[in-house]
Amino acid sequence: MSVLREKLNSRRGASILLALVFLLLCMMVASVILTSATANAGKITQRRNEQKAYLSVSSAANLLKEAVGSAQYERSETELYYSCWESPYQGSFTDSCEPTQYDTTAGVVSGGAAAQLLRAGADRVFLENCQYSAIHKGFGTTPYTAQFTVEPESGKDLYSVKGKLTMARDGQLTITLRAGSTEAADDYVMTLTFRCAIAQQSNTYTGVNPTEATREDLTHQLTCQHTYTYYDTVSKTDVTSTAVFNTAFTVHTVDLTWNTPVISKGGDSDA
Amino acid sequence: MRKNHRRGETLIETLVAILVITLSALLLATVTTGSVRINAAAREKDSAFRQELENAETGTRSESGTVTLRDAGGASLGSYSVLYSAGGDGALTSYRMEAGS
Repeated sequence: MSVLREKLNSRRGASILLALVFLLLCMMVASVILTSATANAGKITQRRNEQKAYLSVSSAANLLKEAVGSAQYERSETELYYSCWESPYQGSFTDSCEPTQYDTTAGVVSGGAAAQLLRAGADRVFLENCQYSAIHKGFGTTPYTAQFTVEPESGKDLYSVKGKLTMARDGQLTITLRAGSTEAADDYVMTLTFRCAIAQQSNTYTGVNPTEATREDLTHQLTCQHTYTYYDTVSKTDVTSTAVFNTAFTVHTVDLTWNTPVISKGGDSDA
Repeated sequence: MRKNHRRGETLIETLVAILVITLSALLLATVTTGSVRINAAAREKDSAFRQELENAETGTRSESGTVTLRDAGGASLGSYSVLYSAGGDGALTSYRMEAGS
């Protein structure tokens, strides 16, 4: 301490001391200038990675916007009603059949790969909206979810994008996308929300040829034949005969399409 | 002893001090010039980067390719024909669905 005080009071070597202080000051200023300049240059590399994640996710979002927008789901249910139950012949049938039969086709999707992703969820929406209680099974208690990946060609400098699809009981579709790589330091998340248009149509056909009346995949027999016996008052004996009855055939079709989505930044981080 | 206290700086001391100050100023000048050069290069890179990003987004240089959609298990659900747009010699690329695919 006394050495320092002595040095401070000393009149010798002050110029060197001042020069050294000036050197220290210059070094500090220089290091600040140099650090800020290199940090500025380093930001470009960081921004490049951020933009790569952004381009990967936004490209996938645009692709899905087009792909889901052109996807369509169609499924039918049928009711086959036998008129033999409506107007029984005089006497009694020796055989019979169920008065009505219900059936449904498999859901048909069009619109490429994205449509395949939607099929299972769309099936649940169909079961929620179908006409006949024998087929109706309901959507279930939880929204339908599915995970998928949008994978660009190898060699392209883009990240694979991970997606999570959620379909509600009204068909509304929410797709959350994020760059699916650990390299993407800054996670870029985008959400697409599609509203679903549900179109329903019913057509009833009576006693006509199945190929004219229905779609190709519906192969129901449109008539039924029954054996019946009755008492003939003229001959006073029991007579056995057969009769052919027409059926009423109703096809109820549900079509699902998804409109142009709202695309927003951010979303469910668990995607 | 008093005489010593009144004595001024020696010529050597003064010269050393001047040398140290000159070196310090030189250091500061060199670093400042260097940082100006680094900043100019960064500005140039930034400008090129912006141009590359714009090219990647607008698709001025496009080439055909595919994008595959995979389910959670990694199985392919199908592919889409797309146009890849490279921003330039750099890495930035985007893609969009090819018309009619």
